[in-house]
Amino acid sequence: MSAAAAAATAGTYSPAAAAGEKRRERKEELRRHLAEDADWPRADGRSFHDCRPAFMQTGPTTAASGSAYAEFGKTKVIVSVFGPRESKKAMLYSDTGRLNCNVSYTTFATPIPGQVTDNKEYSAMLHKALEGTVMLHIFPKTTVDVFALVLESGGSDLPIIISCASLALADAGIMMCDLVTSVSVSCFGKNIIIDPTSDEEAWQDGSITVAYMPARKEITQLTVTGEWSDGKITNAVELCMDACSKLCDVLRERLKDAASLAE
Amino acid sequence: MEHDGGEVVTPGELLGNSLSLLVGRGAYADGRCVRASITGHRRLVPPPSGSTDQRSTVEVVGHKAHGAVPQPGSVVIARVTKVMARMASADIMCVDSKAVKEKFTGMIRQQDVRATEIDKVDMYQSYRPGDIVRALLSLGDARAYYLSTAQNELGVVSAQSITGRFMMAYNVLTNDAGSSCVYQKLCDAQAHVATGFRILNDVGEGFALLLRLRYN
Repeated sequence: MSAAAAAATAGTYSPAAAAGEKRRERKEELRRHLAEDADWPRADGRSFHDCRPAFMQTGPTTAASGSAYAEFGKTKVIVSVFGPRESKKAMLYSDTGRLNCNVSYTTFATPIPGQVTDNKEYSAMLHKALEGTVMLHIFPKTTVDVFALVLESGGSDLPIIISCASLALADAGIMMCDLVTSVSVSCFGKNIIIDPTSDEEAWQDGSITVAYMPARKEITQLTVTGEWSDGKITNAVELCMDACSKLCDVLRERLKDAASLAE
Repeated sequence: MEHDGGEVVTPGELLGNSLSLLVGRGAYADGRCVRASITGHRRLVPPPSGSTDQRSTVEVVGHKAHGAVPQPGSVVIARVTKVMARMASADIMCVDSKAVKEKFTGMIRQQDVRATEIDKVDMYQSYRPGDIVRALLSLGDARAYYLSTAQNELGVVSAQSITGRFMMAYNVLTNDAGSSCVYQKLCDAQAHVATGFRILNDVGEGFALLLRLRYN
């Protein structure tokens, strides 16, 4: 009381001595883990090379030609595919088809509304990841629209959007060379952890996102950020590719279920 | 030879080797591999008897494929929506007997209405809004597909009079003069007896068919 009164008269204020304690503690803990190079438990109880359980489904949007829903832990994504339909009038003439991708976030996608900031490039990256697989010459002069909506952002958003979009394209019956699945890994010191959550993404030293066509064994997109050393990159990409193949089996299963249900 | 398994395949799945299989619908060749490009049932079609190629064709059918897309060179059925002095717009409804799901706009230019005397074509006497037209499609420009009716078997296949009744095609040469005549670029009816239209006399060159559309 007296301290407060004194502070008021002095026209100043003092922060609590314990401010940032929690953050420091967390950082310290992480540093300890990194120094020990131990397999520390992840927040959701996974080990480093465990992916979150993938829940995927086709056909949530009935108005679209094809659609898919994906839920990986907290991350929830819905993708709708429209077309092939007539290209917009303003566009230039083209002999091949076009792929138009758009990624958007709901206002409630993050715990604090309006927190989503640096995801402007996701639309372009989704396009790059998918354009290698869609047979654009099959539908000249027309456009296929891919609209991805992130309902809840819980980490590894882009890889999940890519996998979900490829499932939606397959659901729409768009001709494709192969399904594309994508998985990302984060680097923490010497450790590589797969399918990071948003907390882990916030703390990572670097990340790699791989979009992969498992049947053709081709990578359609590779994004590397942060610090990586040679040996670790190879290891991380191989890890991603293996995870992509396994995720692709889930996608194929979903498509086969939907096909046999339709009969 | 392999049997018709009928199992469901998904895009990218291996269907077989291109040395033993030919690529059909919903499949593509990737080097020596034949892979599926859509989700559906795998089907083997044996080679036609007497063909030198003994390979059977593998195709993926059954599950939903995307709607028909206008391809250059395909014959389409379109409904005329707007007639202008130099061109007519039409909405494409069918591509090669398959209905389209999305809206595609076609354009019939004055020079594409018939094969000869193309500078004397009067658009208003060739088409009227609501006419159903059989036309040949080309990719056209950025705005629309170009439709051409400059062939005997192309043109109006179905029309309604102002009173809303179906019209039938008659050649004015075999009919009495003096009745109200309508000039239209009509489709050669031989191919379309099923649609209920007939042309009593084909002018031969198949252009500027002077026809009277009489109330049915």
